[in-house]
Amino acid sequence: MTLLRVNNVTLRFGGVKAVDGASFDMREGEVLAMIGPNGAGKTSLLNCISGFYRPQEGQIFFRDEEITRKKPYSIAMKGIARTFQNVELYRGMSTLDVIMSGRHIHYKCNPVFSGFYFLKGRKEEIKHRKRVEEIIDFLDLQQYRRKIVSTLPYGIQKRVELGRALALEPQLLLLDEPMGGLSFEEKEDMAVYILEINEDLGISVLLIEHDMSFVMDISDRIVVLERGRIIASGTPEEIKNNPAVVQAYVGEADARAEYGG
Amino acid sequence: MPSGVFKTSYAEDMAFIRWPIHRIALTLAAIFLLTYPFVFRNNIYMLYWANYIAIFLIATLGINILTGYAGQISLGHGAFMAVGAYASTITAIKLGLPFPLTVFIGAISSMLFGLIFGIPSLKLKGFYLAIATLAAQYLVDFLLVNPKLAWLTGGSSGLIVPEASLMGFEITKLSGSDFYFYFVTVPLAVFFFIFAANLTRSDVGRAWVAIRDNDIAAEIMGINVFKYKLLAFAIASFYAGIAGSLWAYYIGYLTPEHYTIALSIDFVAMILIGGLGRHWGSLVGTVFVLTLPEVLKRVIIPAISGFVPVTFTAESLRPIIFGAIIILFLIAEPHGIVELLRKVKEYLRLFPFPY
Repeated sequence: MTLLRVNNVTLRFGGVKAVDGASFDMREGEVLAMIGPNGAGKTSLLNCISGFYRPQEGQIFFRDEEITRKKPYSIAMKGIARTFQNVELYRGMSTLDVIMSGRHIHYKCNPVFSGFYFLKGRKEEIKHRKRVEEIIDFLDLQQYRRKIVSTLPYGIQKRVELGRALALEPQLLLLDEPMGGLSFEEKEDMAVYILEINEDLGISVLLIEHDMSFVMDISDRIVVLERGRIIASGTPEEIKNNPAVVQAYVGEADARAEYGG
Repeated sequence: MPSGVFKTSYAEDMAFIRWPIHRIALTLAAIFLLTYPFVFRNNIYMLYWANYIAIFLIATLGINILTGYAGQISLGHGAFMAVGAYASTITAIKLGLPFPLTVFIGAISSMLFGLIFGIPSLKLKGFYLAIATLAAQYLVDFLLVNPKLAWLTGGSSGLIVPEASLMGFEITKLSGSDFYFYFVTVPLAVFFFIFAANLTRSDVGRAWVAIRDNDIAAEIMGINVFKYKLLAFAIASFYAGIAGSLWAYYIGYLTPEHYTIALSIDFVAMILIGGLGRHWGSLVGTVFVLTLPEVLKRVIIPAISGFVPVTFTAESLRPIIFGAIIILFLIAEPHGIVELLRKVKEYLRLFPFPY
């Protein structure tokens, strides 16, 4: 079943076409990787899906419901959560609070009545706290629970950000370079988390990643972008052997070369 | 964190009273607040000081929610207070409504006014928003002294505020009204303090801090940024309206001079000096800013009066010392006195070990 359908999306910044008529389908329950050289429009396309950019043309459907040009927060409420290329956390908050803030869309308490904490707010808080503790256990963040996020190492911040996205209980998780800037061990951990999220929690994952070895290992299908256009899509095996991809993306015959920078 | 205290439920972990020392501190604070008016029963000055702080604390809590938590700078808080004060006084004079109801009307009017001036926050941030709220300040100043509206606002000569009566008990008319007013202002201040603390430790507070720290990420994580910015404006100006109404009733007359830009700046000074984004900061900042001129007038000026020109009065020195203190805090401790106290506490806890 199609979970996400991107249909002929075009995003222009003045004369520059960041995304040029991109179309792809994403099936329920798969890990779909989006790859392409720098400036290919991967993040722009992700931003269109999460509502941060509004494409000039085309439609995006999530479970047969059009979400093009909807407000970002209402797209989040429909079940699409994401992380960012450069970690975008709330500097002054503790890890616990950051992940709790991800529960926002599930709060049923009227904001003003949170002021009367003892009547209703506390019960609601405890309910969400339990879910957040499950996420903290899942991502092994116990020791960082009370730490202010801006003081944490970069790899941990990435994990906290993933935790915040998971707290929304999304059906579709968009990951913008989850491995970017991580050490090899942290990348392995992150790959395990992504697979567990996909298999155990049943969340479909759309990710952008430059590290080819991980992309080939963890993704079910791959979409290749170049200059805003989708030039190929298919299983990792097909992509690896696709001459157009090798030519356009790697620029030379050696498909195993890691794409740096 | 003291050792030997273990928490076994999330409710305990999220409670106000987390360590035994909190219970002791809270009990002492309650005893202090309860005995204070009786100890100073005949000392009008001390009672006045307590009421003054309690009333302004309510307004400061509000602006701290707006600026400290939600990150929206407002230079129009004096105006929000004025709207509350005038709305309650005018409804009391023209319609003869009872005291608690007029205070509530004042707060609601101020809230609506604050909401209108919160709308620019959709597009404006930082300094630009500060200028937009400054417009509220000048607009209100202008309207209040405008002779064409004098039938309503009393113009620059102001209004006499009717007596406040609660359950047939004329609080401001009795001799020793300061004493009785204490039992209006201080419980309200405590209530609004707890209300604000509850708001900020729950989902709303996290949404506000999220908007303050990273509004783009907040919106993508499902927070309706504009709604929560407006909510912050609404609650802040509601608080200001309560404070404005109480202040009008307490001093018994109302003129535009009470609610000038200087008051708005004072509020910003209070939360900056006390500590942005901390409710104790509001309390400490309010006490500090409101007490400083009195200390100047009663202690420092007499002490130096023989050595300096006579033009060195409390009024003339206050802005200079204020400016110096704000600069000092911005450089040395941007998180205010509360952070300073926390550091001292942390140091003493570990003393004599360096860490």
